[in-house]
Amino acid sequence: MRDLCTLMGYEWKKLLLRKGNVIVLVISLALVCFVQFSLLLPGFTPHENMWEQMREVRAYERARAGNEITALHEYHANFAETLAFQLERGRVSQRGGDWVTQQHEAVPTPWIFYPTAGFGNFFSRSAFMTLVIFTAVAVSIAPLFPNEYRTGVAALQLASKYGKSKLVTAKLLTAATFGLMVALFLTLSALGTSLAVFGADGARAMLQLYEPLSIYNLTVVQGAVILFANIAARILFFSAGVVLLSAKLRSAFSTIIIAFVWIFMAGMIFIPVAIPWIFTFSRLVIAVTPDMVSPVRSTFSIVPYEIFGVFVPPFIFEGVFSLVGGIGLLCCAGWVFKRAQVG
Amino acid sequence: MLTLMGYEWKKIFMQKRVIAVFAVIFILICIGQVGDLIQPLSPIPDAVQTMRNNREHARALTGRELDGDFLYEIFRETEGQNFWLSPYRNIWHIIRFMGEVESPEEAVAFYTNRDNRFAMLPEDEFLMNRVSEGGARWIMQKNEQLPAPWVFAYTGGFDIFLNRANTVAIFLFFVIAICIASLFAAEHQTGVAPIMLAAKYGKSKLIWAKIFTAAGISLGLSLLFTLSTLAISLLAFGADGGWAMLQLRIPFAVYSLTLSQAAWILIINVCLRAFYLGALVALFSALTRSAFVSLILATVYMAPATLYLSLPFNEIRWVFNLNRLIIDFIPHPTEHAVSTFSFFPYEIFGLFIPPFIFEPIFSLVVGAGLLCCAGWVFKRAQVG
Repeated sequence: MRDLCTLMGYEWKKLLLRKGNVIVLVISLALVCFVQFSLLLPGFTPHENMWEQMREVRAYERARAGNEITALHEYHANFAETLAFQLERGRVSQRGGDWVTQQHEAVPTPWIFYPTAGFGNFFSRSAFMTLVIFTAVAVSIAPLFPNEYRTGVAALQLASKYGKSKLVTAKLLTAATFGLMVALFLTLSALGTSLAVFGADGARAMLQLYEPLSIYNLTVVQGAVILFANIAARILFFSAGVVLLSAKLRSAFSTIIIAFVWIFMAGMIFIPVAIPWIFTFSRLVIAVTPDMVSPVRSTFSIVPYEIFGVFVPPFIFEGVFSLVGGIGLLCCAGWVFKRAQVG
Repeated sequence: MLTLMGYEWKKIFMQKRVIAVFAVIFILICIGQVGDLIQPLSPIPDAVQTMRNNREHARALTGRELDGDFLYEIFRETEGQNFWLSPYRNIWHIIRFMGEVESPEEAVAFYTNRDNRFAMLPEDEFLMNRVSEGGARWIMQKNEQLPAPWVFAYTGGFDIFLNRANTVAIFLFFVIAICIASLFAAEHQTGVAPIMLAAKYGKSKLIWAKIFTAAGISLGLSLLFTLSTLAISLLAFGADGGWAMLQLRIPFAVYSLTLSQAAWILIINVCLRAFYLGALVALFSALTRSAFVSLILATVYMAPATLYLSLPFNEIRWVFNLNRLIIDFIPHPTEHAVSTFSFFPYEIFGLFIPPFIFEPIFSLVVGAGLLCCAGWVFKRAQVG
């Protein structure tokens, strides 16, 4: 075990001491923090005095914190319309519809108003943040295995004492933990910046104040934690995939091509899906990419997954799917590298 | 020289990964062009038959003036209908070009609304940041020269091509970046560079061969991609309507062009922008000496345009013009503000030049300069 930790330490060092990786991480950090408040700055928006306006709105909202919101007709109408649309498309079965309605009715009314700008802003920028996290992770870990081949060290490593066992495990665990740490680090920085700029109040507010169509009885803090867990699971799947590719292709260049296709193209190919199983399939594909539209919308979607008659909310099913898939891919990558014939 | 270029082409196109990515993306683009007709992808049942019926209907109306009565008819027939099933699908967006249209009166007032929009141009602070007084007058003058009323035509094939041109361009630029990223870098990475630079033709002909290869690849691939997507669109949806006004597709355009002229202009634009991008990637490749880093830089460079991120300080005129020249470089034919057929001209020494003329010339000149830079960087590289 101690050997494994030492080996992982070396791999982490290799990752963190590379100048390129440090630059990528610093730029990513600057980007995700900056976009949280960029729209308040002159030059980034056509409107003037956004910063002062934000403060005025915040003061106005704070004065009304704790008020009840009783006029929810439009909300109920919107919910009914959305559910009817999904039922008509066949994306939710009749029993699924009952489940959704039941969840919807379990959301306590009347709603209590709290200012949620800090969390709301974090949620709105989450698509961009996920994209940055994915890109940073891909760029950093793509050379992990190929560099051993390129520098000719792979032949030595595979013949050495721990080369086919502990070293491979150490590399895989490094890739996975690096992905998770980058995700955690960037998410926390983004959330921290957003709360610092827009105000940290509203932790008790319900998620519906940001995403009115959500049917789950969660607070915004729980929402943020669940969103992070989902992004972490996505990143685990993605970094495992990148490591598998790099072990298979033995070239950082080829790996990064496929990783970019994975990141960018999945969000660009729009399929107006009318067949339920293709819809489920494309949802699961989107669940392992940075969702370009809105990770919040897909994570807290009202359409549940139905497995053997049990209805599972997307934030649980997609998280578990990416987690299990990611671990599977990691095992595959280890197996590929162990079987690699050099020369 | 030609032999040397042949080697360079071989080096790039004999790579399995390049062929694989190229083939996959080419097939994707071709399928995307007719995606609306393929059954599981299409939102409507029996898509091919519906398209044919609608095309017959629209062809029967071709040549009719787009006057008040006709606009009224279009509004009535498309009101509350499934957009995809409408025979007026290709022109439906015209009557709602400024937002939702709720009454037939609004639909009939199309020309008035459109002219008012241009007449109000000098009062619109947001738009006037992007153009000078003289430029605004130039836009209005161009607009007045357009014939009215317009004449309806079935333009399905050209519509699809113009609509998807930016998607094609994004994929195309990515393929070009992959091909050219290793042009100079591979020599450094494999350690051939010191030998090459010491060889007989190493510092002269070989570098020119590489420069021409980069130009040839970007221009060749872009011609292949754009021409095949144009051909597929016209074959699948019908090649008629080339004589129709560009305004049937882009209501806000002020240029007196036909759709087929617009298609060719767009193709030239995409090709020359691809040339510019290829040159930039070649420069990255020579500077960073790593295909991996070059591709990352190229992707980061393309990201704002691909993701439609709005860039800062866009309300300052020269920043806006610089942005659309070098960063917002994906030719979008249906976006009004930033696009090949945008009504904002470039102003140079008091002359107003439409973007579809200025942008390709700029890309050609700057691209050639960048390519020479890339060659120079490689030539001066000190090895070891």
